[in-house]
Amino acid sequence: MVLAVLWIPLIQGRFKVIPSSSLHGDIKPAERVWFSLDGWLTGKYQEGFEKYENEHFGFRNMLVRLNNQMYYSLFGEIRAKNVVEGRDGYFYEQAYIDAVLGRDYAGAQEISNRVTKMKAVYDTLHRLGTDLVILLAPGKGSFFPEYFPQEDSVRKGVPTNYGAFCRALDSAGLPYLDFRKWFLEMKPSSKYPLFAKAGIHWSKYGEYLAADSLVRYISAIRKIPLPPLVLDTVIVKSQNQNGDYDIGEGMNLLCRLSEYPMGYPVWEAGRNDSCVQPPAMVVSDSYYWGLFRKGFSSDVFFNGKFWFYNQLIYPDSWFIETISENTDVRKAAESQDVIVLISTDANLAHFDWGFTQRLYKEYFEGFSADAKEKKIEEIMRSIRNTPEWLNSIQAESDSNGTPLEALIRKHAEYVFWQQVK
Amino acid sequence: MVFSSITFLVYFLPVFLLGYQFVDKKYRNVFVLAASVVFYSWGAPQFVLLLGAATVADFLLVRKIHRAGRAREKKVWLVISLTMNISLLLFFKYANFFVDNINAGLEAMGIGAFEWTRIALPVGISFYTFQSLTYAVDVYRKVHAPLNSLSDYLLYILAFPQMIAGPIVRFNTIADQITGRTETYDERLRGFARLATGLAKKVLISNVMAIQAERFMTMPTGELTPFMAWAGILAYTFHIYFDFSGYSDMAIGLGKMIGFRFPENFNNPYTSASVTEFWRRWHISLGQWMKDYLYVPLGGNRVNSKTRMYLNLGFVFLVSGLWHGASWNFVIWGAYHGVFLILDRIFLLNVLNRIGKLPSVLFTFFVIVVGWVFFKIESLPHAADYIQKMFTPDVSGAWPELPASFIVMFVIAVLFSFVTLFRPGKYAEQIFFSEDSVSLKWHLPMTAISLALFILSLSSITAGGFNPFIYYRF
Repeated sequence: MVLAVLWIPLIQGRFKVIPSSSLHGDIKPAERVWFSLDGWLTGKYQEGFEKYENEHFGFRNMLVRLNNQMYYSLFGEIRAKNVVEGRDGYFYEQAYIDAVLGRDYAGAQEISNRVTKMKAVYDTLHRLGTDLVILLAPGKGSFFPEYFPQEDSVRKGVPTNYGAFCRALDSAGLPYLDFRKWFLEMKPSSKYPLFAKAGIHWSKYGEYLAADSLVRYISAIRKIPLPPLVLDTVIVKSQNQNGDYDIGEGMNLLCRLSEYPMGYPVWEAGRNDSCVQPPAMVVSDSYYWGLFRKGFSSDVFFNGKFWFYNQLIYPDSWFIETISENTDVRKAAESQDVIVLISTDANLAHFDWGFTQRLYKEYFEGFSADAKEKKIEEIMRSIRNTPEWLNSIQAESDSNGTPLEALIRKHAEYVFWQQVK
Repeated sequence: MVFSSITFLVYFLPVFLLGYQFVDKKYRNVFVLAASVVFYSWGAPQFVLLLGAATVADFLLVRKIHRAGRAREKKVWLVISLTMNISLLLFFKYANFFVDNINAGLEAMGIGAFEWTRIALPVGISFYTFQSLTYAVDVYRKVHAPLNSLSDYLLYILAFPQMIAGPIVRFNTIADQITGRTETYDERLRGFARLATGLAKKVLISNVMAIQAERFMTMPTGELTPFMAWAGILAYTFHIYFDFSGYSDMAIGLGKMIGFRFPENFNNPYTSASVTEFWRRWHISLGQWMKDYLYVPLGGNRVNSKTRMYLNLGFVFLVSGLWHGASWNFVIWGAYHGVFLILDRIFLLNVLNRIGKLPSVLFTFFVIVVGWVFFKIESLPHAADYIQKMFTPDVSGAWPELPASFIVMFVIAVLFSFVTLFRPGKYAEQIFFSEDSVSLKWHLPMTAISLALFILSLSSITAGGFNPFIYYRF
């Protein structure tokens, strides 16, 4: 009997007799390794085998959940980085608590400098016909400070990035959408919860409200009718889903945490002949993912891109990793009618992740468009005249089908921006 | 490969046990030997041939010892065998240490250090060497005849249950089991229970202790408060005990499952009423080895003078310290214990007998705990600073924040370490470790508990490195 039990994980791992659910979190799966004599003698095969098999043996995910559940239920310890349990079963990521308590405060001067550059870029883009929309999203911490852990009590008067940004934006005369304030005003009367107990981001209902308001705002400032968001119904579900339970999922437990029913709006972007879908891009933290996956950027905007933390560009990065640093930000910006910058308060310390900074450099700190183009062409010539470099780009072109000239240009632009830095 | 790994528990062990079950009895030793070679070469592939060759050479040498007619010839072959084994140990384990010290001396004299490519240490070489030595010496002393078959000898030396971390199995205790052993269902189940208990001791208790031990004992002493220093060393005290005894339990359990009866290696050492008693309860196989193969040949207790006896004791414990690691801190640790053993003989045992059992146990535990500082901290100045911090009278210092899991496991560790001081604990121990056959009624709950411990340990091992962020961070 004991021998039979010992064989169960092996059999389950090989034949997957009982289906199991995946673990959640930012996980980098180990790669499978294949036996080689050299690998065996150096120990690399064994190391790779152990890493891979530790993730793939039978009932592994269940065992991880068992361990995490034990630590949580018996000791109150959470096996997910930066997750904090507040009172009454409310969970936060530490950054959201820190933001409210001012622990990540970047300083009034730093924020003021950033906003000054934002204003300069805002004015320049506005002259060129592009509107910059700044949206301060609510944070779980600022929405539910009353459930913070005992040791993290909120004190009035503590400087925060949110407060500093509001003051600086007001002082600079930069318009912005303060959804943090708006959500707090809606909190007592909202028909459906705007944040979940075990979710990081605004609820699906909160996201819908934010999207609807954003569409109306852009319509108003551009004086064009964007596709309206048509709400069909709101389905109430007692089991949270679609990002409303991402902390709970990330804890990888056996049992679900306590949750209250959430409203799940069924909506879509309306279409008619009079609607206009402006070219628009969004530079945002993870608060925009829900809308992006719903198709907001393609249904409301025209060919809308999402610059995630101003690092990776989507949807391009779903196919080939596309880094914003290698992109001509000025060209990208000027080809939009609208640029939306979104940040929750937990990310304001680094808002807007260098996006307007790069544009500011473009407009105010050197490089005319001609000088830049000349430099890039010079680098392209250098590539064509360096056989090794050219051959490696040719190999890349052969493997992914991108035309050689386009790839040479892409590499030249990358080198150019590296030199500019 | 280590016992507390997924590779061993989920892949190697089930395949091995199934194969052992179905292979013909006359090929079982060869099967275990083959599995042992795979086990060892998994972790140290570049050394398996070397150890194999050295073991074959030793087998032939010991046969020469046995077949030699004259005493002088026997002694010559013995010396060759001992020299070969000790040279291997000295080279692989201590060459780097010697060179480092020579270079330190040269640099102190203003002469440049000489270049040296550091030698990698074959895992388990200390245990391998001592086991080989017992075989040669026991045959020389005619305690037991040598094995006829090379494969049986290879099995004795390389058997995976005890090769990496003991217990050191004396040849005469196991010789008959190599050639003629039986496994009953009773022993297989007990073996599994022992394996599961050992695994739980290591994974559920020791690993939890290790985290806090590492946290405090690697902290700069300037940041340490006395409370933190004590928390760190107490955590280490239980970490090392449950780690080592847990591994021994696994080795003994695995041996039992295939019909071997390995000797016990730990017997509630922290309940000792003196350091002398501690060394009869801690790493018993090493203590006995040192006594029979080093202390007794030096004269043991039968020397002419007490001074000579104390010197012998001190020397044995210096060697014992050095055996644990090629570093001066281990020598200091060994010397520290040697001093207390000598003091026991001079007057301390009398004092401890008079003050009563519990005070003696507490005093001895205190001495052992302080000694562990030298065992853990390689740098002697750091060790000295750490001990000084432990005894700094400063109650205003910060009490360390300790996770609930550590506190609970610490209490469990204390309980299991000292429970046999009391009658119920002693009774429970007798039942668990009894060698008498027991009924199915007893086996069912025991096996169920063992399986539960096994599963919990497996979950802890696999989840050990799994602590991701919820989302990717830039």
